[in-house]
Amino acid sequence: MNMVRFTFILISKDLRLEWRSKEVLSSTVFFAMIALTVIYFGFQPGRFQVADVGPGILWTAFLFSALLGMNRMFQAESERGGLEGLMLCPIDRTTLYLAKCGTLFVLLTTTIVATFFMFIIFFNVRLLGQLPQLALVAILGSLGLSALGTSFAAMASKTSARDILLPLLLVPIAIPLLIAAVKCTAAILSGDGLTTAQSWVQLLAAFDVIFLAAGYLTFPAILEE
Amino acid sequence: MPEPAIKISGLSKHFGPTTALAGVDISLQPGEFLTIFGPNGSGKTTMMRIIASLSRPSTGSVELFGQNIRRAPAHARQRIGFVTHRSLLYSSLSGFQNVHFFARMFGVDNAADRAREILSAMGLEHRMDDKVSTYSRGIEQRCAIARALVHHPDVLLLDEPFSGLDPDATARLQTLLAGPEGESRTVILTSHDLTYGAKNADRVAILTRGHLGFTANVEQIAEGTMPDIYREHTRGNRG
Amino acid sequence: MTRDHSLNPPTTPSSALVGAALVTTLLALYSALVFAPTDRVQGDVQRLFYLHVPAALTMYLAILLVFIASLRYLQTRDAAWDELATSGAEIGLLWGTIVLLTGAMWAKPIWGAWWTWDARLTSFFILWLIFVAYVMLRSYGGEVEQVARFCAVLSILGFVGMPITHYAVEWFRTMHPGPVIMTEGGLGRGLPGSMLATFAFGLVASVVLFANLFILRLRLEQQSRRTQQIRRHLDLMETS
Repeated sequence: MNMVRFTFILISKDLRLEWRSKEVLSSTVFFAMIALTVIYFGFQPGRFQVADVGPGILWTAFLFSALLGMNRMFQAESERGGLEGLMLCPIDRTTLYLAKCGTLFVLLTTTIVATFFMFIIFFNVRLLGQLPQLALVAILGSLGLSALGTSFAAMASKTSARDILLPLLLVPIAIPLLIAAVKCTAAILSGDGLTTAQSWVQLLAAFDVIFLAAGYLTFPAILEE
Repeated sequence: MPEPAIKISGLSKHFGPTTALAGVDISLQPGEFLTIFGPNGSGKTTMMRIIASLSRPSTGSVELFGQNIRRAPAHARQRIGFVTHRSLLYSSLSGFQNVHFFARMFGVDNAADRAREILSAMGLEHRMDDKVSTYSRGIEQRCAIARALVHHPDVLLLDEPFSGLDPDATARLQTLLAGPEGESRTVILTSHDLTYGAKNADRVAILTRGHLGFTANVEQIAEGTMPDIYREHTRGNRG
Repeated sequence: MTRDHSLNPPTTPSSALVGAALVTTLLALYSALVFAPTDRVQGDVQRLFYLHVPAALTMYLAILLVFIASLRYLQTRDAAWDELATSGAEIGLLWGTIVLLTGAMWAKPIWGAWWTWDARLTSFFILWLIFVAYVMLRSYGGEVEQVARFCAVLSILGFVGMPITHYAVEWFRTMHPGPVIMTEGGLGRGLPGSMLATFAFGLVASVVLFANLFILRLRLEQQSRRTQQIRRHLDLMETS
């Protein structure tokens, strides 16, 4: 029984569970919608350029809905001791990390795609064949957030103050990701394209690699007493 | 002399000045059934969690059929079935889906058939397709035991499995454990219940403040004297 | 037989260390307030530099301390390392708060604003936030052993993220006064001798004072854990 097979079984179980209840996705997508709306009302109409503030609005809304989603995902798991049940299985703790990260990645990518769509509609953005570039940024961004989020959401779910702890733990360390994602998105929306924001793309990729590795290595310490 | 199924040597668990286990040594032969009694805080759950590899000991080792579980924890887990008072089941899935999932995780051949088989053996033929959230405590616990048995573990660890069960459900459970599924296995059971806890046991032990203060074969204990022995060994607890 | 450091008698800052703290602090204060010349451009407000920068450097020291202690804790699971980590983080947070406050006091007259989002300040603020998160995790993270592991992982993840945070924030914007200690001409060429000396006194005082508070905090932590254990024993005795 190898790592890949286990990861696959775990991820498909989680996604199947999610598909039935749609608990996580519905909260993240609707929260993103609310967040976009609220932030929009924070600006004077006609006084801002979408290309300037748009990317920030987008990623802020996404970050907050992602935090919500992560908490719900792990809370559902911890309710009946789900994580412990998995810890009894003949798999390494690190494989558990990959599986949880994978599930979170699917959920967050879906959320960011939905957020992008809502953003495009709400703010009347015209995309000229920039979808592949946006897709790249979306994937790199949600991968980094999944890598960090798996570690911290797993931790937070085992505590009593999980709703405040998760943002507190995650956001400061995720700031480079946020900055880079916003810069990349801004480059795309302004028409310049990702080639002008190469260093930011590299930073995103570096972030993903660093925190996937660090998260993978430290997950056993989070789970096991 | 056959190799012991479980060999616990010098097991201790502490964090800074707090000690949960203070050096436990015990061995079980294959097929042996040990019941451990002990008051709250004596370290029963800590010990069980260490054997199940959910927790790391501070010192000491646990060997499963001669293999230190820390050397190959995943392999060790393959041979262990663990039941605790939380069912570790997913409440929005059915009993069958739960057991089937774990069967696949444990690499059981014909996972679906085996899941059905073990659930029937636990008397859950008619409830296995209902969501776990609809189960009563007794049924959920039986389902949890099915989960623990689905992969034919050699070792069964039951940490206060009767807690929260009514006498009828308790009796059912004990019959199940005495039956074909429980017989061939090496079992450690922890319990509060002095009357029922040792029903299927070959040996009993008492754990107090992280020490195994008393062990004896069941034949050596006269009928109905267990409560007195227990009181004697847990009285005072002078530090 | 485990070597459980927590059962050793609690450490107290030795009188030598306390004495050193007193001396160095007085010396640093005198230097900063009297000895050092008034800055031509910034005036007396510039004297805050002698507190602000040493405190910042000391906080970086604290970060390193917490990181190493966290790593060692995860490797050994010896509670003594955890005690070091938590004490270091708390005093480090205190120092970081001092840096931010003195920074604001310095910024207002010089830049005209209490706060700006320039690169160095922002990076430092993020590190301060991570310390805040660490301390909150301590309080709300659950029981002691779990919290120890979680905080250790947090400090490792935070530490590992430092380089990338630094670059991200720097590329984002810059406004802080250029480095005067480590300039192109080499260490310390940007400052006249008297100012450099005052800075050095300030740095030494900051580190020694930190060490004192750190050890005091460490002792507090050790005693607190011992007390909890005694309380637990008493509870168990009652219920048995």
